[in-house]
Amino acid sequence: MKVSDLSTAELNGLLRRHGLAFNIGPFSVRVKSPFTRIASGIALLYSDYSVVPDAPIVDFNIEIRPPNRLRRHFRPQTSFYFDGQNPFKPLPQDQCFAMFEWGLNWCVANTAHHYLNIHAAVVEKNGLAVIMPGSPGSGKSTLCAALVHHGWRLLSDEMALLCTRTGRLTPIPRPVGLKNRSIDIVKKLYEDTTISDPVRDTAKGTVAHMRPPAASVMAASEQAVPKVVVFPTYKDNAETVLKPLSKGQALLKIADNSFNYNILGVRGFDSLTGMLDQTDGYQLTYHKLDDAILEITRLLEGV
Amino acid sequence: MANNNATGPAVTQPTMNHAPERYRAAGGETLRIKTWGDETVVYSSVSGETHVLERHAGAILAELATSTLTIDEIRTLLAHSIDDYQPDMDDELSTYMEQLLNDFLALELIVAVD
Repeated sequence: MKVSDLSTAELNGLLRRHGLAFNIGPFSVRVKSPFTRIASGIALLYSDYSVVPDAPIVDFNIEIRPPNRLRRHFRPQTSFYFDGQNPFKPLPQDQCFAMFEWGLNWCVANTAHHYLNIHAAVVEKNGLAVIMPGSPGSGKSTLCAALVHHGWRLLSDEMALLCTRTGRLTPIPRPVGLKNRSIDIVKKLYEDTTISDPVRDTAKGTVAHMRPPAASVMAASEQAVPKVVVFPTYKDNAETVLKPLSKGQALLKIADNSFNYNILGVRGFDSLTGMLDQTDGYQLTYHKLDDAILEITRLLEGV
Repeated sequence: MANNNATGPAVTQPTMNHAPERYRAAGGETLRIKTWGDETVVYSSVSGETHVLERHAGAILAELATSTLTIDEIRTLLAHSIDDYQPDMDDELSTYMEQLLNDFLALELIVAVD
């Protein structure tokens, strides 16, 4: 059963009472929340995900609710709870869905240490993956959104899960997080895409989320082989420039963009060097999305 | 996020007060060394840091990972690793070596052996 098979009443009922359990890539998540924004966000962006009925155990037990009873009356806020812990400060209630997304990222980044977890977008074609690490504002999500509209499969907009045992990438397709100008850019370029209503004045500015393609969600169990690592940088009016990195430079940059490289120690180093034996790293400066897509396509095809 | 840095012999470090006779890599089996062409990357589980070394430095560290070497042996290895080495480069080589060993000691990549 998919989330879209649930009626609005069923979805709201599950979220309010027992929690809605569903699969996201290799993980199962249970979400409980009284907020209608959570229900509408999940209905809009997670409609293609598989529901796990009566799941006794899940990987991430999440609750999004007001921090306390008094707060809800004079300044509505929302808090994120993971297995009963409350790791973040409350946010304004209109940011509750963004808080769910950010909190779920935090859960994966802090617990899934059987992967080397790199802060990166990952897309795939013909079984070969392009990893695009990048700090917020680098343009990786905009480029990722553009690539998935050009036939690439979305593995993740946020994290590359490199299996330390096999060296393959495990998909964790989730809504693509768009910020500020990139929201309008993606809306304008791809009118048929589904994007949530923007939420303003968050810590990251104005944010919205794009629904992942159904085909990417359906193929979430199909791993991919890393082929190229591209560090994108969006720059106004810049020419598209692709610059090769040495393996050592690439390793340091990937490690610096990893959530758990230091935690994994030798295992993290072995995973990265193993991956870089098979892949090359590049710095991509771009302004025009079409040019960036062309360069990445050429890299994957070995042109 | 990772705490990494790149190093090569150009980094200036405090000079050794007295030169011990022999050196070996720190960390034993948990020191990881990977070479790609002229570039070597090394992970030290002693410091938890990753470094990028240029070719000569990487070659010496790789030797120290498997053997305990005297200063003379290290100097000989370095001289052999330089393609167009000439005897009049001895002073330069000694300076390079001293700086390299100081860097390695500061980064906890090697230890002096009494």
